[in-house]
Formats: sequence, structure tokens, C-alpha cells
Amino acid sequence: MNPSAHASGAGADPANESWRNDEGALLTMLEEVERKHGYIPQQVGDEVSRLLELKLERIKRAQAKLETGIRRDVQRHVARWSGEEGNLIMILHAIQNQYGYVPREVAMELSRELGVRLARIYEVITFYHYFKLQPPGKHNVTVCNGTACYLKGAAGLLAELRTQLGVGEGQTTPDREFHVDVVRCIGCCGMSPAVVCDGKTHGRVKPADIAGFLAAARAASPEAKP
Amino acid sequence: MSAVATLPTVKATINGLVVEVPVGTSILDAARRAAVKIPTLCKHKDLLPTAACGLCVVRNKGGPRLLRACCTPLEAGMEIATHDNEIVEVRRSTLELILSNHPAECLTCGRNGECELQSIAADFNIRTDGIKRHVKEQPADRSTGSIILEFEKCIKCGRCLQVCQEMQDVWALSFLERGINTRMAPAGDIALAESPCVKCGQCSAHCPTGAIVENDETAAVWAALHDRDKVCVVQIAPSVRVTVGEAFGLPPGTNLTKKLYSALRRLGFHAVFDTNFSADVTIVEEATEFVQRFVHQRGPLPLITSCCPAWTDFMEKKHWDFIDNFSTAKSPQQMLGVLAKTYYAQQAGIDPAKLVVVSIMPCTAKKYELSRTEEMFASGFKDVDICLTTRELARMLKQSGIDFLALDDGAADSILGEYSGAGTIFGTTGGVMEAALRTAHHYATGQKLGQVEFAAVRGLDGVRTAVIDVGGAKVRVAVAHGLGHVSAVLEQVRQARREGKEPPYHFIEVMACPGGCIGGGGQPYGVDNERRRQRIAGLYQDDRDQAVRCSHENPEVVRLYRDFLGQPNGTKAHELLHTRYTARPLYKR
Amino acid sequence: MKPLTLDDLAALASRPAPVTTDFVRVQLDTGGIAAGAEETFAAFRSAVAAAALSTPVLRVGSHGRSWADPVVEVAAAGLPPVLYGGVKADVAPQIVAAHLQSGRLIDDHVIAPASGAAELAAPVTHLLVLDTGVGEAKTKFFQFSFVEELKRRGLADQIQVARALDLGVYDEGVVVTLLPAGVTYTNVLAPDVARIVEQSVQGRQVLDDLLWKRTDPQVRIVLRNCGSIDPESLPDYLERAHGYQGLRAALARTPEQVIEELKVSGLRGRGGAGFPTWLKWTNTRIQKSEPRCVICNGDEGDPGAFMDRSVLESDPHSVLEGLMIAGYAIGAAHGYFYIRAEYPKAVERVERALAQAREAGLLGRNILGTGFSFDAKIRLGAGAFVCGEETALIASIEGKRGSPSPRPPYPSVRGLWGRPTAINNVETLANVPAILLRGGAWYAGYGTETTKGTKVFAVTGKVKNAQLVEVPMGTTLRSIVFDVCGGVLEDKDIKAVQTGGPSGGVIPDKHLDTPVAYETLQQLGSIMGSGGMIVMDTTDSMVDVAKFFLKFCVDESCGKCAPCRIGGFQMLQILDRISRGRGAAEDIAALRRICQAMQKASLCGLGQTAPNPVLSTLRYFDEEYKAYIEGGPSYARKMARAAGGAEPARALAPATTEGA
Repeated sequence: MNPSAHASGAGADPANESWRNDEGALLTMLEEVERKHGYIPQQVGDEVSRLLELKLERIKRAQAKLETGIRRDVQRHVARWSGEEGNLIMILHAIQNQYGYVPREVAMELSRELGVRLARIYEVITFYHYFKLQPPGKHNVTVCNGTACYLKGAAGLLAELRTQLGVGEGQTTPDREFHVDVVRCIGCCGMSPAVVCDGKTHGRVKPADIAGFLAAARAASPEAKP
Repeated sequence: MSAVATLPTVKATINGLVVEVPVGTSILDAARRAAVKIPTLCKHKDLLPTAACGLCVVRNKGGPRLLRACCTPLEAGMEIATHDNEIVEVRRSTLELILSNHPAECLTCGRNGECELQSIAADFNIRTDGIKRHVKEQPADRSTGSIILEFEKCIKCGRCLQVCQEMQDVWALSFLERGINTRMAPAGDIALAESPCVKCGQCSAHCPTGAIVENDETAAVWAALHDRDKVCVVQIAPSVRVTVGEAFGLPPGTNLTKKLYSALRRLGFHAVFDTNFSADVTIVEEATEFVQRFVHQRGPLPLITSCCPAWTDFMEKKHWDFIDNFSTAKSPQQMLGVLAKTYYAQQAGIDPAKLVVVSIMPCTAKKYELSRTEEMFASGFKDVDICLTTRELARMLKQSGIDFLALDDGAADSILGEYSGAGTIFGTTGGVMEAALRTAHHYATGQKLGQVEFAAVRGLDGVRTAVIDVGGAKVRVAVAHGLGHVSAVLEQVRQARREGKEPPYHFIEVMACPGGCIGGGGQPYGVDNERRRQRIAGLYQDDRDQAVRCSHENPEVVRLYRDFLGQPNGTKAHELLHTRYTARPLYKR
Repeated sequence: MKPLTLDDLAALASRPAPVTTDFVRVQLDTGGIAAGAEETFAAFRSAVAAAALSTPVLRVGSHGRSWADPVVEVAAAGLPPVLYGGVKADVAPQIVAAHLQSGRLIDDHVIAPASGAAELAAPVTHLLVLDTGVGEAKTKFFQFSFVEELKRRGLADQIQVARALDLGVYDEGVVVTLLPAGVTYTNVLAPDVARIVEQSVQGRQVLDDLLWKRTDPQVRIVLRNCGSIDPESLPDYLERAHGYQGLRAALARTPEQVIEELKVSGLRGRGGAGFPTWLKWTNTRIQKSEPRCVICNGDEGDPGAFMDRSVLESDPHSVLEGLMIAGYAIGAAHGYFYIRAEYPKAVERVERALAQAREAGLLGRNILGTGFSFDAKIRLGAGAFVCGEETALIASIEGKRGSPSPRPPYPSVRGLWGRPTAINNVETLANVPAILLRGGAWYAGYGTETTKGTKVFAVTGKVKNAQLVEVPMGTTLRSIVFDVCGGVLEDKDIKAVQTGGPSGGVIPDKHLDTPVAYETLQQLGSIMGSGGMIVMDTTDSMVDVAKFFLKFCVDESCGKCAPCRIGGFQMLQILDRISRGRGAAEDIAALRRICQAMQKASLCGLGQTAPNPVLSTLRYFDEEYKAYIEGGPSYARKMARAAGGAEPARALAPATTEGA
């Protein structure tokens, strides 16, 4: 018997099956059932535990797959740079390029593969601004704040981005669509102020251009490279 | 030909005084020889210069810039000025900058009165906050229960990192981020308890400020002492007796055993025991284990000492392939605790539930050891309830109004108070090995040892090896102290294992802290090798002062086995005095 | 490509560079690409194909005229090569149709720097017109007048009059350039039109009263190949740019002789400090321990400086050649390029250059059979300005945090992995092959007594033509800004020029006639630095500028030593207060005191020089600081509005730091 039917019979919200996907809703459903009945009927309990086991199984499988995936990736990067002195930063570049950031699990795996302490890896990652510990947005907008760009209104571009996206330097929109960053100089001073949007550099940008870039980025493939 | 090879030297002047020092001597050290003190907050005698604080700047005549005295070698012909107007001015500004990034919480700080920053600020007569204070708010890390990281007080001198990474090979601490956001943090930016930290506390012993301090538990001890339902007993570790005096202005190595007995009694402890006693018990158990393995081939060699909890933690996290080599004998702290709550409780007719066992230890890891595994509850209760470091004890004594140094000598309480010379040298590197050899020799040969001192295992070299004759058998031993020295020794053993050869050593002693417990992370501040030597000398003197020099000859130990435990390594001994080890992940997250 | 031999190189040396008269060269560096040069390139290809022409459309690096990007050079028979600026994709078909197919120039895109020519040997084919004066532009009127005059004389069919984009002359009224000779007339007035057509176009006489006699002060040594060769082609470098002839010259001598040549040249490090290159090499060479290393420092970090990027992108082989010569001179078999990760195009082109050189036997064991072995690798920076500092750079290559370490020991004694190491900047190395090829004495012929040769500057900010400029040392700042770069944007008044990046200082208008040299700039409280030159007009607030540079240094401080870590941060707090009109009189004294501590007690150059922008603005513009302090918040808001910036008056969000 379907526990939702049972639950509905018992007076819980019949139509709402959101508890199948949402742990919070699951707890609410169970509380509801318990409040109605004073206990949780066997069938409901069984169905819930079956679901949870299934979920756990799936998580474990995904995790194992992820771990082998990570191990394979890390081994590949390490192999590419093996025997090279001081290869840590170059390997981190490869990882950063692949994932768009350096996930903690990858750093741990790298520590094991390379025999470099995690402390050292984190020291390096957090020292260099190029490496990130948080996943990037789907689209990255980088405003150059070199002197030339600064003098010619980089601050205005940042303000416009804040207006459009609601986020500022180093922040990602809540939907992880856009990440806004500031770099110290991309060497396009002749075209200042400059903005890099998903790897493409735009010169002599005016605040009014920003909306267009964002729209173009949204329209571009969702697989946009970070 | 002269036996002493003379090092090439350089001659230069410091503030007009001619100095001649060996090539490579830093300006800072050279100045010391000329009785010139150059202030520094980052250079520690144990450590390489980090050049971080910028206070030690000096001028070489004609040079374009100021030099850092800590890391610039004196060169021939230099004319160094250490205290001209501009230098002092620059130092003062730099100091004010450091203070502007440091909370003004001296009165409530764990280092109040013992802080290097505070004392330099006092020397410089800083009277106002010249530069507006900006301190980034950052909650302290109290996750270990042994050591507290008060990040806001960190001045980024880098000492703790060098201690944790290089000296101790633990790599639990690191610098994260950069610029004004640079912060000392546990590896991988997690809680310290989730990191590879082994709680040795060397970071706290080397920290110039209150950024890394022991977890002060004196309040809990006061509460227990004032609780009429509780019976408080106390034990003092071997090394504490020769270091606690430093907190009262006495020279390092001054032996205050008997004054400690009196003072602890005055604090209100019902009975005052000595961890030296249980050190003797540990030796009886461990020497028995060794003889079993060495003579009777029951169990793998080398046998490795396990009385240092930082070392056991380190082994369980990084060298767990040596679990079977570890002596299963508990540390003296834990042995005394379990014996207090069983043997003593029975004999004295005290309900063990009412007993509170307090230990005075040189060590922050001992706090962690109290609940290391379930075997630490072998009495049915928590065997040792509270562990204080030497520094905490000193503060308690000062608080209590006891004029510590004016006290008459006291005595420890039977039946857990008497100790042999072997027990007391547990507090120094090489001491456990030496104590064990004294008893193992007896167990293996049945004979009384003539010369009880084993000079070969003494000293401050990071790793010392020797071959000891035990009744004709050659025992190969190694002593390592400072965890940074351990890997090399273990690697030799692994190498032999891989090649199917005899192990290079039969017996290995490891103590996590340089110098052993006398250099422990909970000892009075200001440790360096000179101080370690003096403290060690104090312990060896105590050893020589004892009528009984071998653990198995300690009458109270003999009585313990006769009346209570039965055979060493016997069933009851195993139940109460031994433990187990398990491999643990280096990172909990 | 099969491995080269010494003989091959020798043969190349005596062979004249092939002359091509038919090409389209699109300048594809990062700046150009940002302006759409890739699209322009594609548009040319398809337009040329559509017109069934055989004109090759080629990729080259950048001349340095960033303001005009995308820039294209076009050559067709019967005309000297012409530079076009602002060539977006839609302009490409016009150029193909007009220039390639009918020999006509298109309006408003031609860049033709005055050549100083004073003869009209060949018949005039084109007139270029541009009004460089202030006020309403009369270019179109003059174009019309010339066309009418030509029509009247029946010449309109043979001679075209085109409006130029830039003629290399500024603020000189109407300027007319006669092609192909390049004779340029300035301050041309309406009555001159007929005269010019009659006497110069028809009579081929030069009108002395109108003639522009000054020549461009630029001398291109570092930038010699930039924009004229394909940076991705080794044959192009070998055949058209005397490629690897400097190396050949070096290998024919002893390392000591090579160093001697450098000594004669007087070349000093172009990364900023100006340490004599020959001395650095000698100090490394005399170390007994081996192996030794040589590093090309391509961690160009100064905001507003892009000469290294441009050279690496436009002429990577010449930097590699310089690195190899350095390796030979100091006895190093290993070299590294340390390049900012923010410069992907530079990395890509250097990577390709290395592969090409390896394939051609110019890298590897026993190069050209001379017994010299050398190879080089690339290491990427990762976003840390301080890694431009030598010891921090070394730490970074070693895979560590880029924190500087105390010197001594200097890298020449104990550098990368403890090996003796010479670190040279990109521009320094790009000079080296030219010096070996043409001799130290030739190089020393440029420049001043103490500072020889040329220097590349990246002139940006409020300047008309933001671009790379290479001038002999000793050229005045004013000449660079006004004669070469066209003066201040929107013809505002100049206030100051900032040189040396975040470690440099501002130089006020009254000192702009100072000849550029390491020492002279230092005397003015600034430095040469890597060659960033930021032009500021009267609307720019010097307090704000100081704050900008200081913020940069605070963000980039490695955090290792207290004076720099805390000093910079605290100064920034004070400057921020002042710039919001909330400063107090004693703040100035506090600033000076912190400056002193940072200068004297910081461990490395970053901290020691970070106060320079503050000190130099205090030195020349202290009244601006006072105005902020006395004027309060309303004054600060007024200044912010005047600058048109986006509310610099907002608090400096110490997001990371609690404001007490």
C-alpha cells in the first residue's frame, strides 16, 4: 500500500508528495502522521526506510564514482608533472582549470598522491588569488582594476554589475549563474576599462554595455567554460 | 696539533665595540656577545629566523637600508649601530603597528605577565594607542580541549608553524591567505581537533603572545577542592619538580619535589602522590614486555615506548604500521589514576566515585590522554579526572596565597608516593630507556646492576643510538625526541622489514617534545636548549639522590604487586595497566 | 622543421629579408583580440577569398598602438604599407575593396606617423588630412578643399585625399601628409591648399614654411619585431628578423666576452631596480656551485603596464633568444619563464616558441654543435604581484607561498633550489640579442650618461593615445606624453604623470621636462619601475590616486612581515578616512610615521616602496590632503562627483576587518 495514500487517509496532505525528494518535508510528514495517529504506522515506516536506503545507496554509488573520478584525475595531473621539481602550483593550475576551483576532496587526494602535506597545499591555494576554494559561477565576469581601468571608470562597471546581479567583488549570485571578480591588471590598458566575460575580453566598456554582456552570457551554452 | 679546530671568524664592530664571532653568526647573536640586546618578537633560539616582526632592524654604516639582525650574518668590517635615533623610532612605529593589530585584552589574557609582546611594549614605554586598533574578529578554536588557538592575538611571527611543521613534523598549523588577512590556522582550515594535531603544545610553548595557550582547567580543580562530597588526590609528573621553580624566579633545574608536596597538601588535596611512583610501575610492566619480546621472542621488535600521548597520537595517525611494536603499558599518569581509584581507594576505604584524581603534567597532550580510549576508564570511572600543566599549577599556587618558596619540605603519601631514581628520569629524553634498561637487565639476568647510569642514551642530540650489553646480549637501542626526528628512525626499521632483515633496533624510546617532558608544551615559558640542559641536570641529580635507583626495587611497587596486582603483565595488570592502539585518520574531515 | 646548423644560421644572416609588397597583417595580441581583432582577421580572410585575391592575410603581434586596436597593416603594390586603426570586422571588406582592389585608402582609419621626410622624390599618390587642433574639427572641410583643388587641376582621378586617424603630430592645427614620401605639413590654413597642390603635388617642391621637421623620438629596439612578424612562426623570426643571430654571435665568443659586451652596452635591469645586467650575470657566473639557473621574469604585475605581455605575445623568440644568451653567459643549462597566468596568450605563444626552438635544435643538448646545452620551461604565476620580487618568484617556482626571503643570500648565490640563479625581466632579455648582434657600443649610443639604451613605457590613463612607447633614455616625460601619445584626453590640463606602478610616485606637471633615467626619477620621488606611465588630468584627485596604489599594495602584500602587512593596511584606513572627508590634521603625521617604518623595516621591495605613492603625493600635492581634511565630507563628495567616478566616497569596506 502506498504510504501517501495511507497518510492521506490519516489526514496528512494527500497531494503533496514533496517528502519523497525533500528531507525537511519528510520529517514534517512523519511528524504529521505521528500527531494524527500517535504512532508511525508500519507501512509508512517501511516505505520511508526503503526510500532512504535507496537514496543512501545512490549517494554511495555517486560518491564512489566521484572518488575514483577524482583519483584518476589527480593521478593524471600528477603523472604529467612527475619528476618536475616544484610542480605543485602547475598541478593546481591543471586542477583549477578542470574544476573551476580546487575542491577539498581533490586537495586531499593530491596531498596523498604527491606526498605534499595538506597544510602546504592550502597555504599555497589561499596565497594565490588565482586558485579558488569555492565553485565558480556558471558565468564569470571579471573586471580589470588596473590603474588605467581604474582611472577610466572600473568602479562604475562594478557598481553596474552590482545593480544588475546584486553581487560584488569575489561574490557569486545565489543561483550560481554569475561570479564577479576583480583582477589587478590584464594588460589591456590601451582598451581600458576592460571586462572579461567568460574568457572573452571586452575593451572600452561602458556601464550601459554590461546588461548586454550578461544577456549574451545567459544566451550562450550553459556549458560555458568557467 | 690542536684538538679543537678553530672556526674561521669575522671581526666587526657593534655600537663601536669590537666583536669577533664565527663566520655565519647573525648580527643578533653577535650583539648578544657584546652585551647588546636587540629586541625581537619572532626569532626564537630554537628556531630559524622568520624575519617577520621587523623589530630587530639595525644599521650598517653606509648601507642604504636597515638590516634585520636576526637573519643577516655579521660580515667582516661591518660597523653596526643597533640603537640610533632613527632605528629606535622605526622600531617603535613597527611595534605600534603590531599593537594596533592586536586586541587590548592583556588583563584577561592567558599570557598576562608572561607575554613577550607585552614586555616589549612595556620596555618601549608605549602609553597610548598611537594607531587606531583594527583586529579582525575571529572565534577561538577550543576544539582539542588541550590547546586553545586565540587567532585574534596572533602576531604572525611564524614560530608555531616552524615548530609544528619542521620541529615536530606534525603539519597541523599553517598560514592561510595573505596580506592583512594572513592567519595562522589548522591545516586545511578545519578545527584543530580534526587536523593532524597531536596536542604536544610546543606551539604554545614557543608562541610569544597569548595566541596559543593551554586550556586552563584550574577552575575545575578549585571546584573539586571546594566540593565537600569529593576527595581530591593529586599526582605530580617527574619533570614538573625541576621546572615549576622557574615560574617563581628560581633557576631551571631547581628540584622542588618536597615543597610541591607541602604546597599541594595546603591547596587542600587529601593525598599527594607522585607520578614517579607509577613511572616505576610502568617500567616494571614495560621491562617485562621487553624481556618477553627480546629474550623469549614473544612479540615483535623493536619495542617502542608509549608513555608520551602526543607520540602515540602521532603514531596512530602517521605510523600505524608500528602499532604492534608499541608497548601496551599505559603512561604513568594513567597508571596512577587507575591505581588511585582501585588499589588506593580500597586500602583507604574511600568510595572511588568520590575520588577526584588531579594530575600535574608538563604537557598539554596529557589532557587529551585522559579520555584517549576506553581503557582510560579501567577503574570503572575516569581514571584521571583533571590534568593541569605546570603553568596552570604555578598560577594556582600564586592565587592560593601560598608562599611557595617559603614552605617547609613535605612528603608524599603512601601507597602511591615513593619513587626510585629510575622513575624520576622519566622526565627527560633517554630517561625511560635508561630506566627500562636498569630493570630489564635485572629481569634478563637476575643480577643487580653495578653501574646504573647509561651515558650513551643521555644528551640532547635528536637521535641517539647505542648498543647496550644486557647480560651478554647486545641490545640495540635508539632514542629520539622532537617528533621531527622520528621518521628517520622508523624508516630504518621499515627498510629492514622490507628487506626481511633483523630490525636495526630492539628498543626505541620516543618523546614528542625536544628534551622530553622537561621541555614539554605545558612547561614554564622561555625554553631553549640551555634551559633544557639545566632541567635535565636537575632530574639526573634527583636520580643520584635516591637510595633506590631501579624501579623494580621501589618498596611500594613491590608491595603493589604483592598485595594487589600479582605478576607484572599478569591478568590484573593487563586489565588495569595496559591499553590498545588503533590507526586513526590524519584528518577527520 | 629540420634541425638547424650553424651554417644555416650563417646563411640566413647574409640573406636579405624577403620583401613582400602584398599582405594584410592583423595585429593579434590580447589587446587587439579584446578589441575584436579575431573577428577582423576572419573578415579579411573571407573578404580576400570572396574577391578572389591572393593577398595573404597574416597574423602578427602588436606594434603597441593599443588605443587604435584592432590595428591592421596593409600593403599593396604601388603604395607603401599603410597602418589602419580601429579596424572592426565591418571595416575589413571596405579595405579589401578600396585598398587592395583599387589602391584607395579609406577614410578615418589610416595611421601614418610623421616620418620627417623632406623630399618628394616620387609622385604624390595620396594626401592624408587631419585636424589636430582644439575645437571644432575641420578635417572634412580641408578634405573637401583639397579634392576641389585637385579637381580644378584635373588631378582628382590620380590623387586621393583621405581623412587620417592619426598622423603622429598633435596640436598642430590641420596636418597634411603626402604619400608615398611621407612629407608632412602642419598648421595648414585654407590659403595653403592651393599652394600645396600646385607646388608640392604638381611641382614636387617641399614647402619649407609648413614642413614638419621633427621626427618621432621613438627608437624600436625591444619592440623591433613587434607587429611586423608572426609571433607563432619561427621561420618568420629567422628570415625576417635576424632571428637567433644574436645567439650565433654569442656562441662565437666566450661567456666572459658576452658579459663584456653587455657591460659595454650599459644595459640595466628593466624590471625596475636597474641593476646592471652584466654584473648580475657575473655574480651568478662566479659561483662555484652548479647547476645554475636563469629565469625570465614575466610576472608583469604593475597595473597599467603591459610591455612584457606585448613583447611575449608579439615576439616570443627574441625573449627566448635573450634567455639562451643569458644561460650561455652564466653557464646555466636550465631556464624558466615565469609568466602570469592572467596572460594566457603570452603563455601559449612562448610555449609554441619553445616547441619550435626544440624542434629546430635551438634548444636541447649541444645546440648547433657548439657544445652549449640549454632548455627552458614555463612556470605560471597564480595571481600574486609580490612574486615579481626575485626571492618570492623563486619560492613560487618551488611550489611555495610567494613570500620573499631576506637577502643576502642573493639569488645569484643561492637561488632556485639553492642554485645560483640570474633573474632577468622580459624587456631586459629582449634587448640582449640586439646588443649581441649590433654591439654594446651601438646600444650605449642611446640614452644618458648613467642610463643607456631605450625603455619601453606603457602610457595609459588620461592620455589620447594609450600605447606602448619605446624611446631612448633621456627623453623627457613631456615629450612622451605630448609628442608621442598626443597629449591629454579631451584636451584637459595635465596634472601629473605617475611612473613606476604601485612602487612609484607621481611627477607633477612642473617636472615633466625631466629627462627619463633611473636616477632622475628617483630624485623626483618616483622610480622607473617596469615602465608604467599613467597620465592624470586636473580632475584626478591625488589622494584618491595614492589610495588606489596603496590598496593595491595592501591587497598584494604577502603578509609575512609586520611593517608591510599592518603598516599598509593602517595607512589605507587613514587615507580612506581622509578621502571621505573625515581625516584629521594629525593623520598626516601618522601617515609619515608609518611610511618611515614601512620603508625602513619591511623585508622586501614591495613593503619598502609601497609608501612611495603616498609620500610623493604628499610631497607635491599636500594641499589636496589639507583640502580634504579641512573641507570635510561635502568636499570629498564634490571631488568624487568631479572625477565622475562611482562614489569613491563609500567606506573602504574593510569586509575582512572590523572597523574599531
